[in-house]
Amino acid sequence: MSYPRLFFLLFVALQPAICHANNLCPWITKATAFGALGTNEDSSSANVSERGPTVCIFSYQAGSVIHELRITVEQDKDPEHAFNKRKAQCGQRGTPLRAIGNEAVMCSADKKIQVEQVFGRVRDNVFSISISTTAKNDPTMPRDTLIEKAELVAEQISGNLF
Amino acid sequence: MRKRARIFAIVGLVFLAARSTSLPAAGGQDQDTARKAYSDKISTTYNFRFGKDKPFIPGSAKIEGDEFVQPGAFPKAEYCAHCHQEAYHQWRQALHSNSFRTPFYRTSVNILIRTKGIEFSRHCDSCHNPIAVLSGGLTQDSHVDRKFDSDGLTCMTCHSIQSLQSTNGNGGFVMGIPAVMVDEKGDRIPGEVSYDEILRYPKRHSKAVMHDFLRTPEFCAACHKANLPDTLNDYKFVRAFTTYDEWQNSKFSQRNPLTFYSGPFTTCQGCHMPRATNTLPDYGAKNGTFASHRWLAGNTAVPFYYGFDEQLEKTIQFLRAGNYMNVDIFAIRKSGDDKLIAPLGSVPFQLKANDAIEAFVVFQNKNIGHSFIPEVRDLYEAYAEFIVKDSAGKEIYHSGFIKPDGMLDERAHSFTNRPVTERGDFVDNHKVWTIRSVAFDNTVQAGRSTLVRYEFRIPANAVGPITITAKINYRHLRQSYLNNIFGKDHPRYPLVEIASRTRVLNLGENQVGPPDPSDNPDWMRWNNLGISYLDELQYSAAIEAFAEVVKLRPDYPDGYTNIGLTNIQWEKYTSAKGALDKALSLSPDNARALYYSALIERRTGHTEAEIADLKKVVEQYPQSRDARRELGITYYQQHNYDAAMEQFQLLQQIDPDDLAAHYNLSIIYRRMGLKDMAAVQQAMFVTKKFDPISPTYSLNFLRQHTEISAESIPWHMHSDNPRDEKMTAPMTPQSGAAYTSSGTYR
Repeated sequence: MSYPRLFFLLFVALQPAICHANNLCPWITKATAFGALGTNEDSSSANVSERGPTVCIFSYQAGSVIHELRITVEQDKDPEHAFNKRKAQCGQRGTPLRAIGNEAVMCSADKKIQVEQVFGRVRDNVFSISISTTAKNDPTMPRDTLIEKAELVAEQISGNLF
Repeated sequence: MRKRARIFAIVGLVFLAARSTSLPAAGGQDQDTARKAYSDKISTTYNFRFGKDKPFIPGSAKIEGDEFVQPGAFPKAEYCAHCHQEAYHQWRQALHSNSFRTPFYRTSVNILIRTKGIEFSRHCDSCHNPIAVLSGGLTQDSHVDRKFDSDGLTCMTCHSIQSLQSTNGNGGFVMGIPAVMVDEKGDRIPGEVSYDEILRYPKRHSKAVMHDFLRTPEFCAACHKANLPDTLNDYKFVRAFTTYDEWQNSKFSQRNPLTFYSGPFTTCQGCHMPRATNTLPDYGAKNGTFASHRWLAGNTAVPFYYGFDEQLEKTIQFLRAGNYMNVDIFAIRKSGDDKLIAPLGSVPFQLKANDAIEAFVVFQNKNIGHSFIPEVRDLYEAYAEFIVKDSAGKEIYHSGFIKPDGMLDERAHSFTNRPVTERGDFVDNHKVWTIRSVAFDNTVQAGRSTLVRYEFRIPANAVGPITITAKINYRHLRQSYLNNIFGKDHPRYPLVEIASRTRVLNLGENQVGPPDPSDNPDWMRWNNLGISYLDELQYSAAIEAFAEVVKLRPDYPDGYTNIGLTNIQWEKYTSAKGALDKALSLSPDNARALYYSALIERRTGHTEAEIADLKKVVEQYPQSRDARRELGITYYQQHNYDAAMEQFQLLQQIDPDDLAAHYNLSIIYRRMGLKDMAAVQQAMFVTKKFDPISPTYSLNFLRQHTEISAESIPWHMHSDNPRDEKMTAPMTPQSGAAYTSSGTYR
């Protein structure tokens, strides 16, 4: 085998690492985000995208099931108001989370899509996290796991915002 | 064919590397292969800023095998919890498990990451998050799943350490690949094994996870001592904190003959990991007791933030137990009268309205094996509160109060420090890499005392009696730092009264009264005053105080030694000799008196006597850094280089940072032709020696902050004279917002 072919093979093998070389979402490593979704960043089904500077989306598809982690971080002139506005979206479903940022709340899952959300604040930064699975009874992402992963990610995000 | 096989092997290895980041721990050869593949993968994008062979610099942490290790190689705490429920329960609430994730730490380290780069945070995280460091996670393009962050120093970080480096700190340990068992040959089995297996061979489990050094102060030194190396600050070595050295110099180490008082040998673990009855089942318990894994100390902020009520209550109990600090309202002096009315309670005196009074309060670090307050003292709020009230409870004078906005009275006597930058700005947010000088450091070293003076006038219309209260209060953390972390809208963090003493003074006649049970005897009160004066460079007053000690305790050799020591510092060597001779006549083998006598012998050219005295000291205290240093200097002056070298080398084993050792060894090695070793010592001396320009940075700071500049003067006075700024109504210390129902922490 010639060396160019060898390099080509190496390039193919390393492609996921090369493509993911720049950490676009500064509040969490891709490895951590995809770890929360039950995969690793080298998986061919793992994707990361950004919508503007304040939103990043990690997704992972296993068969027909999609696991997604969506993170939004915004600075606000009236962060408490912004946080309370988001918290109000939870309504009765909101549960205060202790020791996440200045304050945080977790919203329990929607009935159609299994999703857990965390809204939080670190000083004047307001963040939201949603982690979801499209499967109704996803054995890899039962409710407890979703809650645990949402908390883990919330701690990572708030920690990096301090 | 062979070529093709080789290519497949390479490609296979690459795929393995790509997949190995989250592999669970496996045994033996597989583990080695997986680690190699992982390490190779991490290395491709890792920032080796400090050299390929120094992946963990500016920290000192090392790992066996010199490769990155998978985070999954460290069994999780939950795995250990199966058999060690008590340990897990305590650890989860303790500082060690929260060493990384707290806002109090992250706020500071995030600034380092954002301003200098994440690779510099290896310095801090060698102790705060060693798994992140050793797994190669602290790099710009990190491929490490950081789910372990929330466990900080997990069970298998401490229990996987295989050996200790020098006591230089900054993570001075050598990590092994975590193993909870050894096999029948004693070889470590990496990763998790079944609980059945552990229960079948508990000794093999113990051999894997319990090393003797875990019980030593040197183990704690690996992280409870820190310096700022030039790789971090682009300047030079700056000593950060020296808790281990402070212990070594305290009475509790029994390694230092020069302490003012003696005490029982007590390690760090003796105070911070005491055995207590376990409430949860734990196979590590012995006779129903278990060594605490709470590591109770001063941090109330972390349990307050996380809602660990049990840890918080126990921390407060710890701070208030043990008679750690003693407060003595020792004396008063009326304005215009040189006579000291002292010790209060033991002498009669008269007071009247309109008298201007100076009060002398002695704060003694009585039973702490390190300074008060230790470590990152720029982040804490430890201060003296002094209150004078009339009979109606009306305040006459108050120093050291908390303002309504939570900030401390700027003129309070502080037991903290103020590090400054080269521009003379306060180093806020613990940006330690910018520290160039320290404007003041008012911590009280172990066994020592500090005298704080207050001046106030009794109002002309005051109705007696007058009540004087002095306290030591502590808040973890400084209010301004809490504001930086959270903004100003955070709950009020706990403020703990550590010690206090009240005295009631009549307007008119004051008779001798009985002491409080916690009061020191009068000879010790005078002694502590003398120690305070000595540290404030008030030599004449110190000798007067020590003279009172020997009047009350003529049988007490240290009273005379203290007079001798003061005279040495005052450069009155003849007087010093007389006092030291008296001490030695009472106690001929007294190591402390012998040490100071040796210094006098040197002054008078009696070298043989000097060596004989110092030899007697090191026979009794082989780990006395001072005696080793002086003996080395004496031998050096005699041109006895072999003997001098031996002493300086022994000194470096006790204190790897001793400047005299670096300096003298660099010369001795060069004279012996050991040029490489000489160069190392010379380089260490150059980077560690004091920067003579640095005090100017402190002066710049003090000029800008007149409200606290007096704190840098040892003999400063706190006064009720009208102040420049308007003071708002003071508030009393109180608990954190979540704890108002349980009252204050007094």
